[in-house]
Amino acid sequence: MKRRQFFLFWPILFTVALPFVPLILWSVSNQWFYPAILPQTFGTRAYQYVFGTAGNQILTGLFISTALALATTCISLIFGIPAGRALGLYDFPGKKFATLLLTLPVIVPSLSIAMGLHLWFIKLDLAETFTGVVLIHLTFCLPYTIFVIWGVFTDYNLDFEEQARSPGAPGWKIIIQVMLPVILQGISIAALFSFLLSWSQYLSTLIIGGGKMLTLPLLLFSLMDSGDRPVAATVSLVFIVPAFLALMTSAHNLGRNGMEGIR
Amino acid sequence: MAAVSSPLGQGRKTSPACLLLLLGPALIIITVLFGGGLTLGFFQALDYLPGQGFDQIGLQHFTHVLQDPDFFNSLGISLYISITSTLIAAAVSVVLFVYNWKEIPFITFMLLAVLKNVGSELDEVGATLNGSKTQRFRYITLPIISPSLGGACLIVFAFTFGAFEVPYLLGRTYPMALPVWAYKNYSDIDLLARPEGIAIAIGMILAAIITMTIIFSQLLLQFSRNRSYDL
Repeated sequence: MKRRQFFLFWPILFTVALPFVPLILWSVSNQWFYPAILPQTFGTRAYQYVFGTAGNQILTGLFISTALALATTCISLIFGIPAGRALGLYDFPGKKFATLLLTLPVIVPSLSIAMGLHLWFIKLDLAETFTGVVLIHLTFCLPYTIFVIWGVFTDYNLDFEEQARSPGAPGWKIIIQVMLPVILQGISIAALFSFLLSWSQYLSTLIIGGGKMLTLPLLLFSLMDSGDRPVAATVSLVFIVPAFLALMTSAHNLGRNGMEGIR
Repeated sequence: MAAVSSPLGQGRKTSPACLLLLLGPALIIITVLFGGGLTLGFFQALDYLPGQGFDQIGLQHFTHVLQDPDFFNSLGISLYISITSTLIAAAVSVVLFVYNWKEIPFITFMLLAVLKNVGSELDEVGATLNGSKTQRFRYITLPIISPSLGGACLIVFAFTFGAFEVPYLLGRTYPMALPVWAYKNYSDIDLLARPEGIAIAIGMILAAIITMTIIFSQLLLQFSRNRSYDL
């Protein structure tokens, strides 16, 4: 068994880590032409550009991306937890239809929705605003959150709440002191998903944000188009770091056996 | 509609008022944003914008798209990309599953959910009957997972079919993948060519194809869930 795990772990780590190698190499190269396997000259030009010349723009992008992702995540959780509870705990007519309705926004490309909503948002003065972009991100972050919370509540034991209710605890106290602590791990997974999903949105932010909401992916795409590979690679790394940090924090929160409570 | 008893809901019931309170707000948000987006997009694709001089419903954008040879080229390349990647994902996850690997790429996850209901009894019976590893896989595991494998594959297919970022960055410039082509049309600077309607029409066709795929995959998954329950 150990042997088998070994043979699975390393190839998977290898496949996951492989794309980062050229990214890191590109970011520290000054000159890298076609037939060479490694860059001909190394240097920190790209880093100087990203943190020096374009530092302000990148920082603003980082700030806007984070703010958007945080806002989207909070709203997703506020509406997603009750909905996930309803779906996870109860049976009701029309549940399959609700499931289908929730599955569609996750998979139908944001392109179709964003192009449709664009005109409407322009009329409502929501286009090119923070609220507008949060709303369009919410279209797919909310279903994701509901799906995760749904999974959490399928294993949820209502008896805990009954026990708190019998000595007379009020509803809000049960929610804060019983329900939330029990599902906290699930909430942090849902929050992570929602954060990362919003963090990596490109097209919907571009269409609804109209270039006013300059998030990191938007900056990254324009750099990719401009053809300056080292700079694009460096920004990609900057782009990955916060997502990676979010992942690590939530993994730390969950602990090694964190998922057990959820499955 | 009769009360649905799904294996996931644990059979509990609650009052409609409570359900409405819990589920209502989220469903309203999604219906308004997602449903509204699709409906408005559809009207725009039909050139129907009441109150702005576009009161006639016209199919010209759709016919325009369907007559364009580029459409079929793009459709072809999109199909090629998504079918290939789906097949690879399915093959890989079947292999991974056989090795009892517990990480969760999407398909593996869906398969695990079904297999958790089935348990390992059938496989053990196969082993006591002296079935070899390949025989057990071919005659026991594969038939059990095939419907949910199909369902999961369709979802992955839909996902790659509608993906924009990767084909945009790495894909060929001609023929473009469908979503990329739609975006190119939408952001065209030449307003005289009026291509937005066409772009939205492409978007709608994409959405329609994907919606059909999802509904079909849900049916398959439903089937597999019911069947694994019977076991």
